[in-house]
Amino acid sequence: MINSNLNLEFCESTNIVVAKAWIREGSRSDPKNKKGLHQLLAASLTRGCGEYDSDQIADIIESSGAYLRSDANEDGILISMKCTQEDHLKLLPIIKLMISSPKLNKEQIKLEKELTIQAIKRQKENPYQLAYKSWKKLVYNKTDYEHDTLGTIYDIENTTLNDLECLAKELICREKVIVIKGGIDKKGVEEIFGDSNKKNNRIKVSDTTLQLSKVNSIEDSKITLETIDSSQVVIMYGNKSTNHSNNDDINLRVLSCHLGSGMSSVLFKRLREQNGLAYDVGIYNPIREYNTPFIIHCSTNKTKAVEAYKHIKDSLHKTFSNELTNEQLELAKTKLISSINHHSQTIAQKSERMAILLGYGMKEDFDVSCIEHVKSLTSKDIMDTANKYLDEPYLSLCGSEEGLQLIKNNL
Amino acid sequence: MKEPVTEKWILEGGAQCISALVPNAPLLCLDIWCKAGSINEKKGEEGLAHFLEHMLFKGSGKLAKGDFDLKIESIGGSSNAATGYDDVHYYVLIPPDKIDQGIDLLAQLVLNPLFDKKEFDLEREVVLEEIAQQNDQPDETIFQSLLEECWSNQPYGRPILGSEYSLKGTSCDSMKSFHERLYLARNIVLSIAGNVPTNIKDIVQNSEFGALTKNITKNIDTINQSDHIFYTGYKELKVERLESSRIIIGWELPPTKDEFNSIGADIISSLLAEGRKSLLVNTLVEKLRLVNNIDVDVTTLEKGGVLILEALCEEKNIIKVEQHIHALISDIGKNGISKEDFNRAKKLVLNSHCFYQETPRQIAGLKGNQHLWGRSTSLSKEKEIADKWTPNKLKDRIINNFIPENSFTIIATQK
Repeated sequence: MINSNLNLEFCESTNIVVAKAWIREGSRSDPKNKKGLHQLLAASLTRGCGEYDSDQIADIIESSGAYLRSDANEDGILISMKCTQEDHLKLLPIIKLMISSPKLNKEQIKLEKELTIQAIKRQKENPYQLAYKSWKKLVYNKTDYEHDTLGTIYDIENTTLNDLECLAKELICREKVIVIKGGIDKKGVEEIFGDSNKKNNRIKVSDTTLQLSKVNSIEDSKITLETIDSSQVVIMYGNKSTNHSNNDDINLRVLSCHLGSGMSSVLFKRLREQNGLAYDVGIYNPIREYNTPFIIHCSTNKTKAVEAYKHIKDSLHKTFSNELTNEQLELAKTKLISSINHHSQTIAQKSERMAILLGYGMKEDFDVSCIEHVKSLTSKDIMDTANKYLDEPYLSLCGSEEGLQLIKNNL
Repeated sequence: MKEPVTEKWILEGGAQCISALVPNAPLLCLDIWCKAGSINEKKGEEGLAHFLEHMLFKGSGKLAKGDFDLKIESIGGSSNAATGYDDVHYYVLIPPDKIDQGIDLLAQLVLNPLFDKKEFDLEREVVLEEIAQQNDQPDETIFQSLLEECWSNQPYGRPILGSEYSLKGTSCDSMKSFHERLYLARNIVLSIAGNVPTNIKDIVQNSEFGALTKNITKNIDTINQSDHIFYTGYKELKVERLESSRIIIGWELPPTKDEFNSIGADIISSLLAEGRKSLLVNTLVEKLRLVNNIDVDVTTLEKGGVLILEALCEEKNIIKVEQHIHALISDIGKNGISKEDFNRAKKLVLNSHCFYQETPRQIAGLKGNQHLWGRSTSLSKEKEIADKWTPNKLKDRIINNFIPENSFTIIATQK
């Protein structure tokens, strides 16, 4: 640990180097009529920085057999680099320049905008994307997690070079974390990133106790339907939950393991093993700084959709009134604890996890304390947390008109 | 990359084992590979190899339905399986100190299944849902169409999942006989990667894997596989809910055992479409801005592979894009490949192979598959092979074959 912004770890057993730079604020901070601005800027960062233009960056990276990506999610921009030990000191300065001196070229931005618009259009090919987009719109209604990171075609078309330049200038001041792991030359890396710490004013844009504004309580609809020509119906059922730093988030992750993790989970057994209703069933509960989604999802034939929905609803609602048995609780706890090992096998996984934790203002050893918290949990804790966040779930359906109508008639 | 130390041995019944030491890895992977992919299906068995993969999780001689999953997940492990054209594999990822239990459970799952008629009927519904889900994805529909055309009426041209019609025609008995015919000791490799204990040979020998593979040594002939023919042609396809049009072109590649040409194909793939400096991305996306995305994928299979080029563009640009693709490749054929482009592509290939050998699961999968098919590739050997390629060799041996007449092309637009 060098300082609060730079986190380095030398691993003797590898000659791979992975760097992750996390810059706080992502699509949740897109201006109201510029949805997609953060993602557009993130993608554009690889198209020019410092003295390098797009072609030169690609040349340096690719001729070293390395990978460089830059993307935004709701909470921040993540720059990722993977290269071999022999090239890391040559390539890492590019990350520094992407943050400190982005160079936005009009023609390159025009291209990136066109590519983004096409990507937004292609999202419509995927029924899951359509269902999720509708679900988010319903649940995060007029709050910061409502829109997709890519934005909307209209807003992207209306985003100007000046919009991007203003945002690019902010990057240097935003809270950021740089994590570099693998076969690194620590001293050499410190020489590259030493300056970036001095320049950083470290303004704290938001703190981890901040809550996104709540869904309008007079919202009368908890169902959204998206009609497409498909043989299956995608069902998404759930609610927004809490901040990643909140212990309740851990409780809900234990619940998620009970309901949807692995082949011994409740949903897998009920929908797939015992009733043959679906191939793909599970829980989407991504890591987000604030109110992360907790969604049960499945896709099933339109003739089975009603039955599948009943099982999903019943499985979730049972957790509001029935405590898990000791066996169920211990199994769910084991799954959550082992998932920490499963998700920290590669240098890239470890680096990204560290960048996210520090980027959210959480402690480096959060996962260790998380295990202790999990061990202390009772079934009542899980039931109480389920009631606190999930008792009024929202339903999103995407499929053929006939399939949607069948479910609607049986709600 | 420091390569893991490997060890190979054969059990009494003929099953092979390979272990790869990854010191300090928090998880250990056990991966059973079997030459029982969909290529082995007889007429009327289409989809059975994959359906069987599902059914093996539905109980065995010593495990009730769901017990395998429960036991593996209770010890902090996870499991999965995948069926390919040539082979199928089943793996568990477990804490290293649970290796004895893991081997016994995996051996029971794969080698001693129950074939319960009721479970068979129920699981068929699940596979039908998997097929329906795949059919709702335009990309999958187009990809499958290309394979059906390239390898028309041949095993590689059939969907691994089968079809609703073929699945409804299968029976529990036919599945049992498929298992008996193919899940033989001589068709099986157990691959182990992670912090492997020093007495691993004894552990395997004394495990249920050692016991069960002793009894499956009968000499049953596998099906006579017909000649492998790659068909060329051109087809226009209308696809529901397609937001970008696709040009998808397939060219024949040699079988996986031809390691020299397989690495050559990987280099070509990088040269054409990996990164902004690659020839097709640089011209069609970056300069001409006719294409939204272009990708080249190499599928290597035991009887012969395919290199698939896919370009996404607006419908009005399709003809122009197709012409550009062929003109660019033809230019390489005439003018050759620059040393700079060649070195860039070669380095990307070698690094990606190195980046993909980090976790026990990746290593067990790679080593298990290679050992199953009698190959023994290491990163240093791959580098040796790649170093034998030159820009001229690539041009003469591969690029010059990539002409429209040697391809199957599909033009997919919105219905």
